[in-house]
Amino acid sequence: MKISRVMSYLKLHSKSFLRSKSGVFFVILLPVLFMVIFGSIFGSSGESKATVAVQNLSGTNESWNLVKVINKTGVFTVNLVSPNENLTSYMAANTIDQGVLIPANFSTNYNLGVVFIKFIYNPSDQVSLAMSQVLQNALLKYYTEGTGKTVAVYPAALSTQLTKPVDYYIPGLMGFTMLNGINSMIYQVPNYREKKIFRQLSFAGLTKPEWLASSTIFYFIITLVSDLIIYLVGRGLYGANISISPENLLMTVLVIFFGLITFMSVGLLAGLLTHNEETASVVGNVIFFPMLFLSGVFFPISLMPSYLQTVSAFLPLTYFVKALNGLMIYHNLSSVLPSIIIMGIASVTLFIVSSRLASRVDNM
Amino acid sequence: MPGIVEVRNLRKSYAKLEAVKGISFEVGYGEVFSLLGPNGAGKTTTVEILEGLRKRSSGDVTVMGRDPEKSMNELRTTVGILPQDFNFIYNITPREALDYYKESLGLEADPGEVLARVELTDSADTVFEKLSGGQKQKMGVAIALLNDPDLVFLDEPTAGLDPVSRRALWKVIEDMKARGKSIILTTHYLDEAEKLADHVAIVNRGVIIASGTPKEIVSMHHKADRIMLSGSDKLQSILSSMQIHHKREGRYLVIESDSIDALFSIVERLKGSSGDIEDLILKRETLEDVFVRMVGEEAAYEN
Repeated sequence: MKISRVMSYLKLHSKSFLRSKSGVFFVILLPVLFMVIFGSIFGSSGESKATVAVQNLSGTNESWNLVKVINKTGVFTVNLVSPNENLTSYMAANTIDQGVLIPANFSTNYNLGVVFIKFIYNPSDQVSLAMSQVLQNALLKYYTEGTGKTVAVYPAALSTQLTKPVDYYIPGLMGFTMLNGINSMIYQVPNYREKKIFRQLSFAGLTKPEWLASSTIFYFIITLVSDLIIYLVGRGLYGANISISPENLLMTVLVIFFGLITFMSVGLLAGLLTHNEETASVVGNVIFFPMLFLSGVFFPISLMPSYLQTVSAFLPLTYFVKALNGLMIYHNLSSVLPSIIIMGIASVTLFIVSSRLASRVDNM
Repeated sequence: MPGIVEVRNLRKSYAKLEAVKGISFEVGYGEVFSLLGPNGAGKTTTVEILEGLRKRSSGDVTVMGRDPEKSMNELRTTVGILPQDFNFIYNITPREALDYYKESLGLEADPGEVLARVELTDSADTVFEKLSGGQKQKMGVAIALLNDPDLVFLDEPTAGLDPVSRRALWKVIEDMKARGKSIILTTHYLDEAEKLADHVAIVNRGVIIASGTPKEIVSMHHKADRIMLSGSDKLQSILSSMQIHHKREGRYLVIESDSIDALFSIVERLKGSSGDIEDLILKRETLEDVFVRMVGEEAAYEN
């Protein structure tokens, strides 16, 4: 393998890619567009009511009246939490950013004239903190002006970060960019074979391994760029609670690399087994869409019926999304190691199979 | 002195089909050698074996003294190839393509100069899909010429082109010939071979059925020159009255003779009837006539 030929083709392919409007759209813009759409839907901004988890430990008439007052503000949708549950765990499990804790001695203190209630907010969400002020103003108006009593709100930050739906979409959308690896191969290989462009490139001395190496480098770089944009947009615009710790950074890049090799190999296999672009397009969609919807990219796998969960267990993208969820949201490397190992095995196996088939194909 | 290309008893089979059945020929230095034949005759298979793109079943092949099957990497810097149905990445320009080949092959060439030589400077920065058919072929020729090769393979370079583009490419080929390049030209345009080639081999069904210079082939297989006449209804009776043997082919009355002088004397005799003649064509037998007859006879014999 000659590095100069790999780099020459990399340059040529980069030019071709950057000029291809559809290529740039699908690889860079579409994932960002999805990010913007999902961020807008599931991010914490917007004018809809905020959900607040209310736990009433007092259970008196005065305390239930407070619940009614909160409900009547028109700003909150009240979600009652049983006194037996842990409020913050409930908030985390149900991705609710705001919580109100009504203490057991609420009525006693209320009758004395001043009572404090705890407002728990998500520190990573500025809107969440602002909600405490909204509640305070509402209570001030109702109690102080109406009854002469004071019900004061003291805000307390949630010690553990809450996950939001938008957080889950970031690894999911990174998974979406992996599918570009499939698409790139599935369309390029039959097209180049049909038009004998591989033969023409071979006149420059370019060998099949050199072409494959060059394509892998290109899509690895472009995927990293695309994923970085998704990450930055998700965090910057929609306040996603995700991060990559320095110790997990290398592992995250490795997962992306495994993912890319896996999906490029799947695309290469499909591209080699189809003989023209039209068939390739059908095969591409047959692989692409089920994987997209069954691997946890857009919908949590836990919401699927059990038979679909079984199907998703056979899809490599499932393990990719799981691995990134673990690394970026839960920061728990040990829990996602099995997924990373599965990705590694899948990428090596599929790469060997697809490159061997490529070496046997005549017009490539 | 051995030729730049030598082929001895070349055979190539695909499963049960024998595409090339023992072809032998030699191409001299500075010569334009043309392989002619109908579709499926085995021309492209032969050329692709010479280009190192296909493995032969048997026989000996040398290109510039080397076996292309084993040494194509070394030959790439001294051989230029324009394959049949030349194609390239749809959104890359000719200049970028040439830069790519220059970088990959480590050449010193000036792509701008090569593009000028094939008259493609004005479209050098137009992406491939927007080039005309002729310009695409010129781009292919430019790639083939970038390494200043001693030997150039041109596989059906003018297939599907309009007459103006064909002639423009002929000019490029003539320029290459003038620079002393050896050229192997595959074509099924007989006029092209007759105009450009020094030597011709007619291939049919995997074997060479005639070879030599175009003139030699025409004279060796020459059957008859002809006069073609059209005109008034009386013309046929005039010819009959003069006892000139003729036959009808469409709107023409055709008189054939293996002696051109005999045909000139018939023209002389027809002077008095010029009022009844609209068209008079004196046509010598061309390579195309010989080719069509030979290939047709082969087919008839096979049937």
